[in-house]
Amino acid sequence: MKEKTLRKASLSVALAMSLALTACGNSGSNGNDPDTANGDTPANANAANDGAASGSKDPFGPLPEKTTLTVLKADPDSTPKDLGLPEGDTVLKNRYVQALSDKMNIDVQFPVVVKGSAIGDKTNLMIASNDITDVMLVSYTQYQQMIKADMLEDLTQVYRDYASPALKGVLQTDGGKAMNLATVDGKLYGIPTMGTLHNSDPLVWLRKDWLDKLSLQPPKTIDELNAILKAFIEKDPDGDGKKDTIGMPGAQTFTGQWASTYGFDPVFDYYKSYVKNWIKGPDGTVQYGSIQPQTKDALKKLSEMYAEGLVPKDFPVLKNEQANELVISGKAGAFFGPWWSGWSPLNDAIKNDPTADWQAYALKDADGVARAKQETPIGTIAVLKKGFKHPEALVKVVNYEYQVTLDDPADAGGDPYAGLVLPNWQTLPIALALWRADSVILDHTGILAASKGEALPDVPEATAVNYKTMGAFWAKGIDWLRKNPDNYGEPISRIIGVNPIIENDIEPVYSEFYSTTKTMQRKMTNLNKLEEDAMIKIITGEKPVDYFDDFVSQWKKQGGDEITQEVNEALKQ
Amino acid sequence: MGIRLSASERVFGIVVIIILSLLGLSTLFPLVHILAVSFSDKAAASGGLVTVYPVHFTLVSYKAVMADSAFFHAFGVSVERVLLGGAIQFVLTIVSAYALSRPKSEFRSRDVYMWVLVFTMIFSGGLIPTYLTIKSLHMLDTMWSLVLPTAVAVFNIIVLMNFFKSLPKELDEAAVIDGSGPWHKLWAIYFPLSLPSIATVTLFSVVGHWNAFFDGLIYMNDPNHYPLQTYLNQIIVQAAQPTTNMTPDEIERLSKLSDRTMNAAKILVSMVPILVIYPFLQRYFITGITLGSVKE
Amino acid sequence: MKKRVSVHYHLMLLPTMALVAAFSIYPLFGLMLAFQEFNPGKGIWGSTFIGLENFKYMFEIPDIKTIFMNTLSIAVMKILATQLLALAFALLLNEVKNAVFKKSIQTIVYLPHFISWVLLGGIVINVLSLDGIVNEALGKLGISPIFFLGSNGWFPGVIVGTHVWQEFGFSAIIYLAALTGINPSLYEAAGIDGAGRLKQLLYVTMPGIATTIILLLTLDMQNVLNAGFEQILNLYNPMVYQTGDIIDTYVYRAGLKELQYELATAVGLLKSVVSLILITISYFLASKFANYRIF
Repeated sequence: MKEKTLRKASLSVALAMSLALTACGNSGSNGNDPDTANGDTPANANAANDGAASGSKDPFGPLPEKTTLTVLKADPDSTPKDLGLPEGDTVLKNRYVQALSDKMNIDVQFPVVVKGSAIGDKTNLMIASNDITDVMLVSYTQYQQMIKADMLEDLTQVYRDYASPALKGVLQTDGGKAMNLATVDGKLYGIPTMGTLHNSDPLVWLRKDWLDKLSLQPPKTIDELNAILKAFIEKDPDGDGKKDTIGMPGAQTFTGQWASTYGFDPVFDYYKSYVKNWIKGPDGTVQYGSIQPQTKDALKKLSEMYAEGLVPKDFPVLKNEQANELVISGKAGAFFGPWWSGWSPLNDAIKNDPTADWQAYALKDADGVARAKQETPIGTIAVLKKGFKHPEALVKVVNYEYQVTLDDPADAGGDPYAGLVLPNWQTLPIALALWRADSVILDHTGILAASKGEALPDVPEATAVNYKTMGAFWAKGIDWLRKNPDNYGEPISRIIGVNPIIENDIEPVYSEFYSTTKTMQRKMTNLNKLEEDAMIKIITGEKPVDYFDDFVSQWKKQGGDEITQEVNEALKQ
Repeated sequence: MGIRLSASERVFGIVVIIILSLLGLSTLFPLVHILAVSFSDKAAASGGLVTVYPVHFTLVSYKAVMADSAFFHAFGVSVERVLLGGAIQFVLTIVSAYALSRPKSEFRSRDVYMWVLVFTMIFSGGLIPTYLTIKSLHMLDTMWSLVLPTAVAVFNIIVLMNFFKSLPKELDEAAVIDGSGPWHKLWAIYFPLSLPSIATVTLFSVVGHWNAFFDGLIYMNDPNHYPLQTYLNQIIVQAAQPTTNMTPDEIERLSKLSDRTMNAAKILVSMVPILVIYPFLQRYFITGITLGSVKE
Repeated sequence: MKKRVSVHYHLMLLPTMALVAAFSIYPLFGLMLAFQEFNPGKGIWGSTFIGLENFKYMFEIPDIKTIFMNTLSIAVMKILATQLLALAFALLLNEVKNAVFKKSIQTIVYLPHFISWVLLGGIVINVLSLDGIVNEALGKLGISPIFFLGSNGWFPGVIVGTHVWQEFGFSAIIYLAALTGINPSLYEAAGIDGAGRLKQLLYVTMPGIATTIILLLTLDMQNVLNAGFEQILNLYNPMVYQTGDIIDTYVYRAGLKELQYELATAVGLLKSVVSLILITISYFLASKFANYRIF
């Protein structure tokens, strides 16, 4: 449940960022990693040479014969107009589809179209029934399952031969993490999208107006934060004479492999407890984060916070919906959330209380470093059915899409929507959200530049427009934004929300292992249950903190040791 | 019946009314809440500030529902499904129940049929083989995939069969003397006498078709073929998410429509047909019909 | 003569049996999954048989006993409580003479059946939360707040209670229909004999709907291991795993990381076998003690 929601949340952010962000990466304005922007780097030189040598391996050239490519399509629940499509175009029938047919001899067809959240169920069913379309967009789990079932075409060679330099470049913006995960036993079976760096870093959002009113300083440590929460509860920060404010909202999903809104992850991160992640231990082996002594420290602190009433007594039964209510209704002046909290819950909160001055901060751990667990570095993967006659078709379509939307359309034979607003990326025949992994910060920088009237990076028109719009909103000042709640969400997220990530130089923490082992499949559900149960019991004080040791020994005994061993063996290979 | 009520009976009557009213109120609460949410402002609704009356009254949600052609399209699909699926189930349930209500002396293999049906009520092959079956019959993406696999409602057949069996045997004997065959007997005698039960199972069947969402989701390959509950499920489960390339007017639209208020409006509109159709069936099992002459 | 009649009955059942064969019996080959290690690439016919491995997996879950008992107790309580309240409601409604009141109350109580638990869940959590309406009311009576959804003692009760509340109106319909079948002259006769309301209930009404009660309880036997997945999924939390985690929620969590069709099929098959046994037993009990054949 949890992972599903998290994925969805991160996806929504991905949507929010849209095309705009990727483009600026190729402008070369981002000096610190030039090799990602251009094709002529060592990493890509091979490909370029191969392409040159064989001559026929043109990333944008036509297939030798007219080829039909069927695609499972997720229909975004919006009208064509809202998606930026001109009159007459739809998600299924547009100029991209036409161009692929004209320029590449690829006739894209959509025999199965699914709307909204139904896509997951439908994809699972199609895989299980071995009734798939030529191209599917699948999750990493589904990807591994399909490889195991021998349903996918090996794309290693065609990717090497046909992927455009720009595509290869963007897929290195995460340091190659997604490509590494997508490579199974040395073979590549699909084109992955990347996790977005810092997308879920948990920040401390606080009402600066409440802090000022109570003469408090922004927190640097957990204890300082707790003092603030205490004051928020006791000192009537909203000044209505009633004791109706609370400390820190919480919800059932109080922690996860990566943070979600209202998760207590900043507390865990503060103690260097990386719950549900596989991390390198001091002895060099990989260990499960939840059973480390650091987790005990974090739970001890959380149990103190619970006992003091800093978090709601009934947080374990609350869903995000109820936690949202606490913030939106003005009862809470603090919450843990990612950079994009400006969209949700704050855009609603500001309507109910336009005087609220929400700011974001980050806590540093005992070493003076801020760290945060990251999302799985691999997102949706485009895969091809085994036995497809021209496997390069998939690579070519993605080359084309990337080029016309994000890079230089001229290379791909021109932009079919030249002179018009670029339609939403979801209208692409194979809607792969390919943008730079480091776009959160790049975008922040771009909008900030626009707000100061500084030169914008060389980006597509649509992106520039958005930069200018958001920059202009931001330039009007925070008071204006608070009085214009409809324009509040995006600038707050992109400027205020991203600030602490840059200022504190938050260090990303990744899991060493994202796959599933044999014993995990059978025993992890039970172990997770043990874990959640123990954590809740310790936090709520039903069991003493030392109960953690019982939990750890139970965890090891009931299959945890076996799994740890399997993980280490799998990593050795 | 026209006997004067005694004092204790009057008290009893009042107590009954009070108890029933309380039960009614408790079930009314969530509906009133949803109604209030549907007329409220997004920020108030997502702040949990709405209980039983709207906060910052607005019609934005209903205007959006009215403008949502996909919603009404799905509504139409559902109506079609209920009419077609309900009709098929109606006929099959009545004839099957009648055949199975016959004594073994008259219909020797009835027990075999009966237990096959009971067995299929309990055992199911599961999602994948059912999907493959429907695919191999070329019924994917058609109305048939929604109405044929669900056409045999064993529960309803058993309920109706039991009612048929409870009717007095004399009816039969009279009919045999009349010389009418089984079809005529069913139509002329059993059917009219069983209207309350038939109305009940018809209601079950209509409600079943109206409420089903999962089959629409897996068998349809085109969102335009989704029945209403599939459509509603897929938007309610989907989290409220900010979308792409937000132009100012999009932001405005998004901020005015919280999922909560919109969903509330859609759910209420989707319940209208249930409320419309109900009185037609209700009169059969509320007021009943005079069976006195035949029923012991 | 008899043979000719039975031809008609075969004919009446023909379309039903054809549909059942196509959509219920033929897909039963899918049950093989329960004994396989499923490989979607090879399909159900081509996957490797692994005997009872999947069942072994199920029984090796350390909590299986608790989970099984939770499922059984919640489901049985739901069945009994729903039927009881539905029956009581139908009987009370039967006493009301005012047709308008009767119809409106009955329409109102049946409506919650149409609201999905995704939505109801949020409402229930709000109503039962520590600062929700219920605890507010209890507070006025001097009772300290009850942690309904977070206490193992209360949770099953809340599940059963909210289920009954949602379903009694809908379940009552069938009793109402059965009540219309009772001959009014029986009440008149009883009234003339001096029988009060209670006696009429015991000697006229109850015998009149006894078969309906037996029928519904027997048919409910197929749900003794269905404790209500959607509802529990939307209301439970790790605090109440001990009394609230049921087979379906466990299998659901197991399938989150990787869909385990084999496990789901094995669990489903086991549930079906239990249902078949229980239904058969109730059938024979009813026919022996009440001399009433349900099927």
